[in-house]
Amino acid sequence: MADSQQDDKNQGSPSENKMTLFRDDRSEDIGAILLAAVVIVTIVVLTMGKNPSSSNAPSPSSSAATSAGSVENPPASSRP
Amino acid sequence: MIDVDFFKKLPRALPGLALIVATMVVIRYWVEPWMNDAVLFGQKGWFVKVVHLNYILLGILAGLIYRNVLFGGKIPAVLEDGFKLSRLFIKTGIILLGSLYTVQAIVQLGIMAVLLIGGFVILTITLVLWLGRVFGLDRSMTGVLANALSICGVSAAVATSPAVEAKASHVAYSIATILGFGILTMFISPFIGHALDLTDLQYGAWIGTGILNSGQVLAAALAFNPQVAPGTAVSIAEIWNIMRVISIPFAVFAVTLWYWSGKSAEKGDSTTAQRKGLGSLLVEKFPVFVIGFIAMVVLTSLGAFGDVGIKGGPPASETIKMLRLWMTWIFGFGLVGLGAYIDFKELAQAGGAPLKVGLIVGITKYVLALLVVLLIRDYLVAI
Repeated sequence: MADSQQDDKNQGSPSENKMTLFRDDRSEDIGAILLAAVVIVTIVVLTMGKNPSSSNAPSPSSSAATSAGSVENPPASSRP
Repeated sequence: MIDVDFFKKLPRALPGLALIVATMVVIRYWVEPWMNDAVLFGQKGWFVKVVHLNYILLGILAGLIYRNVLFGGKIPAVLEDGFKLSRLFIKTGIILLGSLYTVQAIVQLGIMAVLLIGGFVILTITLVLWLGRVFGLDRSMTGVLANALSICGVSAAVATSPAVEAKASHVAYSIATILGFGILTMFISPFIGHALDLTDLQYGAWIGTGILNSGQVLAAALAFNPQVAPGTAVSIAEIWNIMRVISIPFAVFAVTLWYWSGKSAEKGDSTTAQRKGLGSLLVEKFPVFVIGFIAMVVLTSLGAFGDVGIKGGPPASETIKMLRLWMTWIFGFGLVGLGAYIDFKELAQAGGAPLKVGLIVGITKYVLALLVVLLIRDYLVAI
């Protein structure tokens, strides 16, 4: 297809190509999904047994009632 | 599908990665606490309360100083691969942000976001195509600029370039224009938001619509309110931004049609070789990290990580608390890297007619988004 014929003059800016360690955007997306999975598994393992028995998922109606910027729990602080 | 070469390159990324991590550790453990206590002009915490400095802005500034001051405009080769991981961190953080939403909230917020984002994408593309003709811009340049200004900057410019036969210089001009404008909006938006006393909901909707680049939307949201929780600026802005990112294949398709219809008319033929169907564009250009984000929303909605700590409900689980804390670090790492990719010399590339079109459209979109959000503020759905 035409794309391959124009690879030398197209394919984005040089600076864009420099912005990732991956082959392309798609590979970077998959890398992000894998890294997120690793983070989640690590956190789940680290907090195993620390969670009190919960009331499962929040009900949809209660989520909609949440006002902007206000949560009952103080969210994770911006500082460690 | 998995990029095996990445793992071979990873050891070379460690020095740069170490600098990014060390920078964020210093900022969060020493600089930020110092700013909270420092007394300036007779006010304790002046940096935080008046200038609204926080770890996000400091991280971007640190990256910017590394590149443009300490390293003389170019990241040293030994550190370069580490800084190339910045977008990976930002995308990973956005996937994890899915833990702030439930499916119901996404649907409720999403309808409004789709309407607003869709309207702005169409309006921006139309405006750029018209201004491109008025200013006599090259057709390829106009096509790239249209999607760069209407969707999410860098990714959209790169995604559009092969479809409209754009040269590397077209993409570079577009990226320089949107990054230059975006940097300005990234730093001034938190001040405007605080000055107008916007809520997180209004602010998030505004910058999610009005700021051009995904990384800058994230930075501006966290600069306004560094908290990561349901209902905070980052949770609103990012769902707006996700809607915009999803529209990349559709916008590429629309601009490609415009480009080749004009081209065919010029040539007097019906060249179809370079056209692609919407289906193939969806497969090629769809940002698949969005699938990770959606999976995260579904898992959270199913209670996989325990209670999320919404108002009126049970407190957040330890898993959710730790997840949100780690997210702030991951975003911090990504934004130090983003700062290091702001090159003043590259920004100087932008100029002439593309810059004029970029500024006219960028400012129009930025101001119009604020006005629209203020007009519809009573109809915005909180999550």
